[in-house]
Amino acid sequence: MNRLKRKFLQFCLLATSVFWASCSALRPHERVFVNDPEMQMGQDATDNFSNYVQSIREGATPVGNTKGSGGCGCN
Amino acid sequence: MNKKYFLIGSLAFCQFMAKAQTVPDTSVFKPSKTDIELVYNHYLQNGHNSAVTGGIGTEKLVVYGPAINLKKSKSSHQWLLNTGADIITSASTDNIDFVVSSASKHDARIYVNPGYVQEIPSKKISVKGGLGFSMESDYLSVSALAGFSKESNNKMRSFSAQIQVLNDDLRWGRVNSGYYRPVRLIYPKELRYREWYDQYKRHTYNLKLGLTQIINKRNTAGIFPELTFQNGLLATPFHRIYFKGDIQAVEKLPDKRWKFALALKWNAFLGGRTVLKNTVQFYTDDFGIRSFSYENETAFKINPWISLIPNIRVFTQKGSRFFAGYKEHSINDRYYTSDYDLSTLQTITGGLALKYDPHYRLPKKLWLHSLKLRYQYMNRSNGLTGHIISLVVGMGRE
Repeated sequence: MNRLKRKFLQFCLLATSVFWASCSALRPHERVFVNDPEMQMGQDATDNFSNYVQSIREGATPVGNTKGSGGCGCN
Repeated sequence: MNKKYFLIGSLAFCQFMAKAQTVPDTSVFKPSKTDIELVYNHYLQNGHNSAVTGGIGTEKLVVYGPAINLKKSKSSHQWLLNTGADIITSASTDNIDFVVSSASKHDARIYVNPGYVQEIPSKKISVKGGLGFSMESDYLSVSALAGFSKESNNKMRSFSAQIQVLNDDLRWGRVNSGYYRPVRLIYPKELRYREWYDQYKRHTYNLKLGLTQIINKRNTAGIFPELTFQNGLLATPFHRIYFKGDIQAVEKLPDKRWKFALALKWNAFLGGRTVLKNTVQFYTDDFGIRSFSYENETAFKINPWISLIPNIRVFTQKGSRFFAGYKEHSINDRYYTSDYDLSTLQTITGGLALKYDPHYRLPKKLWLHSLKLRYQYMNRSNGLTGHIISLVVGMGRE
């Protein structure tokens, strides 16, 4: 089982390296789509509140949650 | 003959030297000097597994949440402010009031998060720092964060790191009339005959990393690991436990907790009008909770100003080994909670957003940049339901 896990990890590392290396640079005029506001990875104010609710209603805290404190989430 | 060659040569040289008209890069949105976001969040919830009443009883709750986000930019400096309040009307908060054991049906959370970002364009680095302050009747949280992000020279890759430290105090009384100061921990009214905990502080240390990569003209991917360590009072003092045989106590959890979460994101621009945003997330901690979620948000651009954005999220969680329901815990258990947020559960959340980007000029050099209205419905496998409504008005001033 451990050997299988190690092989799987090695495969993931190799696949990631090949994937990363295959990304070629874009010229400015080719960035129309990737620069679109909807394509950005960040969260907007509506996402922030949904994340806040999830961080209280789920034992698993979501990545990038904006909860300022542990909060009581009394109910 | 010489004149002819001279003329042709001169024209060719002029054409070679002439500068073409510069085409502005309209794809990059240039932010205003001051950006203002007015936000209103509304949350309605109903269920029947309240931890305040030991895993039974109503979880009916309404949150009214106005907020404001400000961003002031000047050359390479940015000043940020996020502030707001959550007014909470809760059916079971009336059982945790310290003065009278009922009728305290309102609670409030007030928060202020100032921040600062310094960009170093020559090195493609930005450095940020921030403070956080959040207060409710039974909770005070003070936090600080520091981080940086670095973009590769060809702007194809960016890496970010952030560390945050939170210091929480769980004593009650700060926003309660007649007190306005921390008094002591608040227990269920019938369990106030003794002190159940010898500490009232909770410390949280959080490390967030991020790596984003532009794959090609239409695809972007990112990987976001997050590691958190907590110590101190991790249980909630007013959560009741009913053991088998009608013995009663307050929730008890370990005083240390490690959490690890990993999010993988992939955004794709399909055709000329559709953007797919996918997020897969894994989570594990040493309370025994494991979770997996998949989220998709698809933006359909109806025209350059209006977008329709449906979203769906599927979440599944394996519960903590410290969880058991009403009258299911044994008196011999070392740790115990009947908080269904820590139980085995599945949640489906779905909704729709409407986004309008008018870039409409208002008086006093103000611009109305965007309006976004989003509704989400949440359904949890134990019967808990929720409605989340958010309205964001984005404005800017040159």
